[in-house]
Amino acid sequence: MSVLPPTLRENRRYVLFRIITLVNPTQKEVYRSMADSVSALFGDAGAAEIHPAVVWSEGEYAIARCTRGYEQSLIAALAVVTKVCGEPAAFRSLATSGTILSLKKKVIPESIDDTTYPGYLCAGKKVNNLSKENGHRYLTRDDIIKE
Amino acid sequence: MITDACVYANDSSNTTLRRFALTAASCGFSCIIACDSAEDIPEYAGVSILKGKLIGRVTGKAFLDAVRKTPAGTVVFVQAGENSFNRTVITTKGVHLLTGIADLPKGGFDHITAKMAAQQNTGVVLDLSRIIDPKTRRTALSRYAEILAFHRKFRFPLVLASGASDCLGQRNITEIAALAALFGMTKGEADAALCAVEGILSPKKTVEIVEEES
Repeated sequence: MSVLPPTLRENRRYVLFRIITLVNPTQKEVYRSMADSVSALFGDAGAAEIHPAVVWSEGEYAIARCTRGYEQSLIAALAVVTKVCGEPAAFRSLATSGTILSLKKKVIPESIDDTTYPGYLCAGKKVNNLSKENGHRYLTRDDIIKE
Repeated sequence: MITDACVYANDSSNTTLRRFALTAASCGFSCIIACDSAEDIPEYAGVSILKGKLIGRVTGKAFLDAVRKTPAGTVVFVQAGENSFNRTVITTKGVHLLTGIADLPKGGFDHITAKMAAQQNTGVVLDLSRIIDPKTRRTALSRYAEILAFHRKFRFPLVLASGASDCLGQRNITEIAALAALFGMTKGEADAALCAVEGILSPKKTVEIVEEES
């Protein structure tokens, strides 16, 4: 199929989102999670209209593409994602724009306070990471100082 | 005050109350209500934390005792049940919010209950975790659409809550508006629902003293 002239191409919008998870998923895995939730929410016909795709992914940030006018639907689909690669995750939408470049400018460099670290709860005993009792905990710095 | 009306920061949660508050701050909230929380922190990271108590479907004296024993300043949530129970809950003094609407059978919340909720200024919580969970999504969307239709007619307070049991379950304001749009809620209605808790906890009086003469 030949490339369409710019005036005939569909208009697109891009959504920047942050991937909050303990694993480091690839762009394909992020796309699979997003596509699954789009299909689950809007069905195959809706997914064809939304035309979702992941166009860029780096670290914990990614940019998804959709047809113009369906940004709200894409954000809702991203909000219902709960797992990536079988691990608990959340896709947090940050901004919407008409160009990838302007969204890349909005990517905030990581600071220590924003980063999520895995922590383990242990009651003064020997720490065994293989034990099921030592589950993941989400804390803040103040929690660590307090405990 | 933009409020996330319900997060479950109890002992079984893997997220501390401070972490909930920190995530809420990054999501654009200025207040959260922590249900059945063991910790007592009034404010963290610029987010004020209100204590909440969830009362289950207990009937008669046990329900009234549970409401009476709740300490002052605690936001009281009651799990919705059958229609007659919901009417009792709404008319009980001290109850702020009715939750668990997604679990109700069809017709569990009728126009009379809606009218009573509007008169008593009792809020109805729309828990978005029910939409996020694929198992309960269909039921929740249809129930919430029904409740929204009642809200548009009778103007009772409608409250949006993430219902998160860990920090991954919390959603930001844009996402909440997008999720609410799934059952037909407009952006304006979603914004009003996010700020509705303030109006329920401190309702506007008919006569208010603005300035006292000395």
